[in-house]
Amino acid sequence: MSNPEGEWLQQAQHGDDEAFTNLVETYQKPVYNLCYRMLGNPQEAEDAAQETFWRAYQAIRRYDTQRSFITWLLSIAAHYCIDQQRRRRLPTFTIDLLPEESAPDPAPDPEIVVSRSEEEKILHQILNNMNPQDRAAMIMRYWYDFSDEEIGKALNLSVSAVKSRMHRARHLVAERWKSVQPQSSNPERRNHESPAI
Amino acid sequence: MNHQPFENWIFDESNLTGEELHKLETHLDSCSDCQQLRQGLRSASALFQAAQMVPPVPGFTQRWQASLVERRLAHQRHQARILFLALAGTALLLLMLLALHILATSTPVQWMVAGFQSTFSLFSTWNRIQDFILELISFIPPIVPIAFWVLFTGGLSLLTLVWIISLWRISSQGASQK
Repeated sequence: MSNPEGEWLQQAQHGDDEAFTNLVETYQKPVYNLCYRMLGNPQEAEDAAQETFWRAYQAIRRYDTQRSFITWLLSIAAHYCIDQQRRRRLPTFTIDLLPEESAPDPAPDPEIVVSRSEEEKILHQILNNMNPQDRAAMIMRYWYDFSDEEIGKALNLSVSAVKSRMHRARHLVAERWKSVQPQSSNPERRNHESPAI
Repeated sequence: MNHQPFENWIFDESNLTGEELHKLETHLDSCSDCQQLRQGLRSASALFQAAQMVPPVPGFTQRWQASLVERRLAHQRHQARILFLALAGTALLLLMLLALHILATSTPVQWMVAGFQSTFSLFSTWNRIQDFILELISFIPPIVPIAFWVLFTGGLSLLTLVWIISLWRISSQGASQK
């Protein structure tokens, strides 16, 4: 964690609202992204992200500074989203309501826009088929580069449980890929493909 | 065809030994199902890795600041409600314990007699107080009672008003305020 964040954290632990607001500003994107990937709906993701920060605000005095702040924050977000998923049981995905980027490309290529939208749909369809905890583990691995240990800490799981969930999730991803991939999509062309999955 | 352990290996390729990798490749050459599975996993993983983080709609922090005020207020109201319920519950419990104690230590006839005696004693005490006050007033010059009553009722009204305002503040804003 960089210095200003460390200072904000200490100040926030002493009841400084402005310092906590700075933390919200800094971490809004990763928290919102996790909520969005978990819930698949921009409005629900916004509510979940706001709720995450409120829960963090209430518990900030109990936060152990030895622990990574982002891991702690994402853990709160993941648990909240898992609870939401379990409550509603029937997930709804509204891909068309994707929020605009804060700094959009001034002249986006229509082909790229369509392709990204298509890819987002596929991602949602794949994630939608996983159980909430597996989904959280996958999101933490792919979007946040969390290790098995970090995922385990965030989701209160043992490392072996994380490995088992990741294995199951990957299996499902591979199976679902066959049924959801569009004709036009060809991820083989991507430069950043990694064979180490 | 038996796809194990190759199917499992496909999902754990990074942890395989050289010999296991060689066996997997040999199996993949002759098994189209496993080939498709690996291809699907690789393609999907590439898609996951290429996907960007989705940012919230601009103004998230401002919305947070606005919601913080509301949430804090709601939290304080919730605390006040809990405090009120706890106090009411304790009072009810004490009353029930008192009733149980009375039930265990006396008969209904005794309560009725005690009730009549208490009521009678209350009325007689009230009458004595009234007599005492009237006696007192008759010794004071006639202007004093008017001033006294004005001050007395004024003070009593002010105290009642302060009491109502305090109750309203506690119930709407909570017991503690930052």
